[in-house]
Amino acid sequence: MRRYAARRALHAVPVLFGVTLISFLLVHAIPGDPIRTMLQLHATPEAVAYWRNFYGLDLPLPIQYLDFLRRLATLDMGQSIQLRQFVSDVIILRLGPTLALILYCVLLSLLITFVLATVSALSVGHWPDRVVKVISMVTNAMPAFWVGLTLIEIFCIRLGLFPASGLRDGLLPLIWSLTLPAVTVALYVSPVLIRGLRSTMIGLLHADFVEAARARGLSESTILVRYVLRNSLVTLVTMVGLNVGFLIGGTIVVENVFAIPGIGQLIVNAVTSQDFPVVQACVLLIGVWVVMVNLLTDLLNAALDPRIRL
Amino acid sequence: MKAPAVAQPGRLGRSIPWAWRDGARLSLVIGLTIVLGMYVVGLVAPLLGIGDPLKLDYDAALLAPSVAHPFGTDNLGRDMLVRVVYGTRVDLTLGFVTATCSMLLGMALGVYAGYFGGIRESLIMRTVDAVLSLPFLVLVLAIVAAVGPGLVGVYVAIIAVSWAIYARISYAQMLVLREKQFILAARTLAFGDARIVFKHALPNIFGPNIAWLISDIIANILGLAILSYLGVGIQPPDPEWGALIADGQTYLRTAWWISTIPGLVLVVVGIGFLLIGDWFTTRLAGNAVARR
Repeated sequence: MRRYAARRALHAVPVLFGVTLISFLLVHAIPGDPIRTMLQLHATPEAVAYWRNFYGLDLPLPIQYLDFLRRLATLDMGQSIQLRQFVSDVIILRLGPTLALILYCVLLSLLITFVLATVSALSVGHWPDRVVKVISMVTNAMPAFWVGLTLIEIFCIRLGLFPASGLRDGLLPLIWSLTLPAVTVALYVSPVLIRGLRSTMIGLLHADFVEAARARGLSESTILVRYVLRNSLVTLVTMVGLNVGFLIGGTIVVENVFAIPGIGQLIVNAVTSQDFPVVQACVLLIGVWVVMVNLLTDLLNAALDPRIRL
Repeated sequence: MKAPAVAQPGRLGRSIPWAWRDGARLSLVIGLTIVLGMYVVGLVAPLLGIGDPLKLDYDAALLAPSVAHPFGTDNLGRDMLVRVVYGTRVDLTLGFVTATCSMLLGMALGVYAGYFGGIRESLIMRTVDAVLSLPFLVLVLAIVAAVGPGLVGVYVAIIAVSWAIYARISYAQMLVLREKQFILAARTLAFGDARIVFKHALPNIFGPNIAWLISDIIANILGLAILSYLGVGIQPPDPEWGALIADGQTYLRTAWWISTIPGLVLVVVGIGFLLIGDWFTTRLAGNAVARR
């Protein structure tokens, strides 16, 4: 296990470097001049030269990159142009709502996926399976922001059940105000998970060890719970881990629909106001996050299934 | 697939007649009808004389769907049906063009990496890993920020991100092909690299790429809609589905149709592409069985 973990972690290193390189180059690929954007009307040649030197933008690119990595090691990602605050401070404030939303949404999607995939796998070719297939196809084709707006229209405006935007204080009101956003993201993510879990479960239902259990006269419900569901749990966890990028993409959209003050709202605001240090930091944060979750998923998988370690 | 070395699909694949009972074929027909039908209507829209998508008419603002305005009108009295139809051109064109460009770019790089190997292989494939580790939307947003909001920025950003999956697919295929008898035979016969790659390898790499292309088209269309909704895609007043949905957000309470109908149109197109994609995956799976 230790050797596998080391090998797998080593594989993540070049990817992490790639992510830092992409987020570094993003700012340098801008056709305009970030300094001019920052100074706007005050962009005299002297001022531009001064700030260029101040931010080290007059140095050769490789040196700037090394400097970028060096500052990164101390979590120094510069200052936001728009907010005049340290980027790291801004991000820490925004992390909570996003993490809460993702956690809520993962729990919801697991529930939805578990129920629908089981129903589907137990009735392959019959109407429950077809119904699930149609539902997941339709939800798969629905744009998440439109789903969010439609839910607002139905549950907030017409029925008045949920707050339409923002977060409430206190644990229960917070969960309440996160419900519609979480449902929106869950509807966006679940079709992918259902498809994966369904085929795993169909495979398991016909696996030799399940046939053997059946031959020993175990009841179908015991087989389902102890043999099939238990084994497919691993697949489910893996699929959630591997789709974390997809999940984050969904939360970005939904945070903007429901005005949740998280990372997603931050990155979109930064993009529209051309606040490049913040865009850069968000890209980096999300990239590292995804790589780490993928790494953890693989390690978890290897811990649960010894065959993977070989 | 006309390549000499490709195994012919077995009898199994051929013996199924063109029957309406076959679910996969039926879904292909329905999917193609939806997608092509809408695109053709969108393309010939100026010839149909249905009106101008930008024409303002304050007397007809916020009218509910009726015979005169089947999809209603927006806050500036513009006919929503006309705007949705004109939006089709922007959205579907972007879907087709970005997906095709990404596929060609990704295939070229993936095949190159897989065929030649070495340092070029690790360079390309590590870039692919890094690009794919970032969520599609995050990277697209960041590139749009760098290139600048607007349709050009969206085209550049989507192509710059979505080539990576094609590269990974083609690379994986190429690695398998490289060891196959017919490629080794072609090498032994001292065929040039270009001939081996283009005539013998590429025809076998198209299949999985096309299957991905179908789902990629709808993903890119949704990407454009999301970007427009967030305000960095199509700029007003041009009609585009995501932008139309965003326009209606303020009027959810009074005029539900402005956001809801373009969203439903997006869903229908999405289902059309999914149906086509379904047929492709079943067909590819069928061929894999037949070849064994």
